Amino acid sequence: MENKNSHIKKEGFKIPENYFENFEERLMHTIANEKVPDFPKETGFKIPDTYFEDVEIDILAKISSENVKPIRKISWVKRFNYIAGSVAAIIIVALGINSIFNGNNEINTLTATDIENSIEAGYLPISSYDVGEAFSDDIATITMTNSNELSEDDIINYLSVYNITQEEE
Amino acid sequence: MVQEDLFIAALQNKETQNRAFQQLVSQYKERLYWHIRRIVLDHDDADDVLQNTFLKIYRNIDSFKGESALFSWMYRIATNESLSFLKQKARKANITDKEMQESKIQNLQADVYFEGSDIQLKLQAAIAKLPEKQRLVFNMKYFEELKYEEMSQILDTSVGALKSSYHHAVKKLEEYLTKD
Repeated sequence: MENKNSHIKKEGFKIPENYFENFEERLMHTIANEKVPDFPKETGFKIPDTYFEDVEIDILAKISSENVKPIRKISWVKRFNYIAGSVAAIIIVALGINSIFNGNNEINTLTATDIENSIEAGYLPISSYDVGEAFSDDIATITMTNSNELSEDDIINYLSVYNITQEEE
Repeated sequence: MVQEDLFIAALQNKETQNRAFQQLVSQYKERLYWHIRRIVLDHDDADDVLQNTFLKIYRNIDSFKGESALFSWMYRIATNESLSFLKQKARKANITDKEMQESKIQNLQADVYFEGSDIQLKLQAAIAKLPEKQRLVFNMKYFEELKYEEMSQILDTSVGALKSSYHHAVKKLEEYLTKD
């Protein structure tokens, strides 16, 4: 059998013959015969006078209360409401799932133009006030500009600020 | 062993369960209490953990398959409950496990249920500094005088590793106690 430790470089060091063969045995013998430490055997922990009598009563009381689990009585009216509610919830969920899997979800087929047309026609109740309220923080940083008024210097300045360069072909 | 098998059967039988469990509590409450107390250090915490341990034993007795001795199985539950209790307490107080041990030792000095001498307090402080496994092994070997084979079943660790842990724990404790 190949020696598992054959990869270890000896580098000139030597060990007594059979050193590793009984190493574990000798180590365990040393540990087993170690002298008993000279620490106190008492911990100094105390307990209330009748603790062990009391705790037994407490534990057994807890266990017997676990055995007697209260049975909740539900009236017929409440029971009917629970059943009716559950049936209604199941129908709603089933219809929802059916609608999604059958591709009837019209939102998926809407295009951006459809949405724009709807807003312009007044079908969606969104006003500029609503938009302003929703993006009030962003609007504060927006400056409206007319692209016709931009000078060449403005454009060069903008390109250099945003590090936009012409791609080499 | 036959007697233990009969006792386990009585614990798992609904007809005899409560009576057998009463016997179990009566027989093991003190040993388990002191095992827990040496881990959690103060009496109120040990009381909580002891009660939880017995409740857990009761709730899970049907799943006990007899793969280890009943005593080892209960000790394992008590050990796990104690360690989880300390970890949960440390998490709630937003401190590390090490800080929790330090705070427990500080509280011990003012604890009405601790009447140890200076050397006993020093020993507890030194034990609290040990890594968790070494702390458990030292307590179980030195104070509870359990055999390595029993500890091996409880802690699910080889006898060799337990001997080594105990050896290291003793060396560290000697060092802590002679240094201070």
